[in-house]
Amino acid sequence: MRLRKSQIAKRRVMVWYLLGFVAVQVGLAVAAEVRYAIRDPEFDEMRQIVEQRRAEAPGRPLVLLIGSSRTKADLNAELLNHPEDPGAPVVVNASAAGAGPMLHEISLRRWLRAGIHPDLIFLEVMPMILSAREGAPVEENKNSERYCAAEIAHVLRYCAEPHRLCWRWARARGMPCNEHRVELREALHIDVRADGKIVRPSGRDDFGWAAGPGSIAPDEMQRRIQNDLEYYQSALTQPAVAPGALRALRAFIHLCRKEHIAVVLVAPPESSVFRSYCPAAAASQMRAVHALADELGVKLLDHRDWIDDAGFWDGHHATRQGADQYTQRFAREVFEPLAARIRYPAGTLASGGR
Amino acid sequence: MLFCSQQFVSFFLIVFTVYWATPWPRGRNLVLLGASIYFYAYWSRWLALILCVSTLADYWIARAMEATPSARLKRLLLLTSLLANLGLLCYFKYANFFLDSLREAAGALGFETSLPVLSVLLPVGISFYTFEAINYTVDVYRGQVRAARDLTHFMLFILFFPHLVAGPIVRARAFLPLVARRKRWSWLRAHAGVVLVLLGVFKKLAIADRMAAYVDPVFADPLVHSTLTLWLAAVGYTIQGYCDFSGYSDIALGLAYLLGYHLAPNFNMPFLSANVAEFWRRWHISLSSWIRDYVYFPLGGSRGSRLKTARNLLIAFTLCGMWHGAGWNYVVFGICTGFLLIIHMLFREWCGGLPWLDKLLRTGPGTAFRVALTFTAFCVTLVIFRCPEFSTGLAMLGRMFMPAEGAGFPLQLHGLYLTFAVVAAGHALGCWNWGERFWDWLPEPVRGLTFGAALTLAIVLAPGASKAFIYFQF
Repeated sequence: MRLRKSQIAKRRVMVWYLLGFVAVQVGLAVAAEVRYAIRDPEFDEMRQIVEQRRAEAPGRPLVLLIGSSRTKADLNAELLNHPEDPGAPVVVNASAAGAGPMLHEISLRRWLRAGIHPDLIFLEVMPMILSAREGAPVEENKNSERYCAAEIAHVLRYCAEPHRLCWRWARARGMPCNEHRVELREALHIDVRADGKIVRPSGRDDFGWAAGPGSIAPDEMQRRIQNDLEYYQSALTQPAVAPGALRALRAFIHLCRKEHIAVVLVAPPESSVFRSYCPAAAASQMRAVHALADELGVKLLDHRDWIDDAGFWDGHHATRQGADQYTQRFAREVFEPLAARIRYPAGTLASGGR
Repeated sequence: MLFCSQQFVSFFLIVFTVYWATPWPRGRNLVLLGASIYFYAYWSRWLALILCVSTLADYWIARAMEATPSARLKRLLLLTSLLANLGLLCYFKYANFFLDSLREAAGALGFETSLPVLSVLLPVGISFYTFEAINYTVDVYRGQVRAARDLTHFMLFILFFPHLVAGPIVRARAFLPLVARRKRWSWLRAHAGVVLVLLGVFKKLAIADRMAAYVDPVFADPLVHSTLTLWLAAVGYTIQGYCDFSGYSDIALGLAYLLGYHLAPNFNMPFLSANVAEFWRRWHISLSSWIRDYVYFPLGGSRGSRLKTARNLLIAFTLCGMWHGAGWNYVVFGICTGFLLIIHMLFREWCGGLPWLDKLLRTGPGTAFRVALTFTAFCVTLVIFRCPEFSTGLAMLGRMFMPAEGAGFPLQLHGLYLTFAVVAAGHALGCWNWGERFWDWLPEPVRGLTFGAALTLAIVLAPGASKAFIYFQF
């Protein structure tokens, strides 16, 4: 009798263990839903950077460089800022690794919700990430854990196979202690360096630029190029563009129009190895982007050959020198003529960037 | 497939479900055997085949040994089994070490040699299952255990996946009856198993792997660090080693419980030991008792003169050191431990003649002093154990005892001290059984939340890539 009682007691305790674990996961999932620091620490970091830069120069126009890891590494936004000029805009590189049109649109909505209203956006349009790799947008298999429930409901409309994104998102929210392990460690300040310095996990500087390596051994560079070509092979050789990706891009531009934000599309630099990997597919992808730019009346800048091959460390992300070279040319030929039009008071370019 | 990996969790859940869903005892044993072979073959199919073949050989040798009336043939069969098991161990683990040592010795004497370097893949856990096979054949030879009739039972004894790759080293006389016994589901045992698994996972991920983040950079270049940093790193490595290995043992015991098996504990709060002899009765109990029963006692144990006892201790612990790996640092670690035990033996005898000193050392402060001294001695020997180059180990010990300026830890120290405090609190709670009583006193919902929080914390603190258990290499 006593044995039976203790068996029942232990069974009840084990049910409590299970419930306790589930309760902690639910708590973390709720925290992830409401806090960018857990769900999308890169956005949280960018938001802090933008707020700091704006606090230093209140009232100035705001220019955001939005893109993927390519733009994040390629454009040294500090070089585009002129703090000594009281009318010059504040420029921040607000790109996120792995981002494409779907995350870009969501990010823009987040910026606006946070009360951050950019005056001009340079939006990276990488033809490869628009391609219909394996029938779906390249981005469809990424970033699910970065979205909150409402955002997931929004981006599902761009997906060819929505259940895949839903499943990944549910897995991330269902077991946040595993899926958001790195973010939770950062949020808890577990690995603080002895000198007390906070090292941004994304490697960004105070203007959002994540500098690549200064130089790289030729063998290592070749190895990385081969790795990345293999990884993106199906996207580079797919001539068709994913309709969902184009819809997300279109929605981004429409939102900019609605909010009176000027937008310029930029095809980011890449090495000749990437450009020549499958020229027919690249040309087809670029045609689709051109058609969209024409349809929406926005400017499309093709910068694919603006950095020499030696300025990349893996064929499509710039080294420090490559980024400086590209940023200087970008400032001279693109940014300064446009920036002259959005000097304080802001908003004069709002009717469109074309 | 590491215990703290997602693959293993999936693997275990499948095995657990199929095992308890199988109604026949024989079927359950076959499920476990199949799972154990798969578990080992996940690392290397080739090595799994060798392990199965050597297990089969031991099975037949033991059967033949029991069947034969000839003592001479019995001895011959035992010798064959020992040679086969130790031969495999020596080939896989020590061949290159011996060849390297020979080459260096010849070089030192001015001879040129062209000894080959063998390309050998070290089978995971070879030291553990070799010792299990040896204890079986020796016990059958001595008549202490009956040779297993059922091949499945014997193979499960060697291959049972919870203890296969890093122990504890189980004894045939304890394990074989368990295999034969019919298992019934018990919530009491399942609860004990789950708590042990949680404890092991927490020790491994939240303590041992955290310690590695502090300790590894210091041991990588000890000569640039300050004396204080080196001492903290030595203590950190001792705690890392303990939590890594005892964490593995706890998980192994917990998994075995969940499958209806009871394995003997491998650790018993060793850092509370008041002397070196007691320490080795509490640390890696299954290895030290194996060494005692199959090396130390056959050599004569402590029955002879003081000199003979000292010799036996030195031999037993040199072998114990070598068991840990093929390197001079392990040999020296074993020799140092042997000497510490000899010193302890002599000191104890000397104390016998000084009752006031004996009484003083048995008071509270005296015991605390002895515990601290034992812990420090073990930390110091582990410095030799941890440094791959013996000369580096010596240089590090030199810096530890001669105050020197130098670099500190790359990370802030609060995490290190917090981890030390957790281990100390764990020992304090375990010492008087407060932990269990406190746990049972807590309301069930609080226990549930604490369990959930501890498991979550362990997963969050786990390093990015799974770190293998230290004892896998042995």
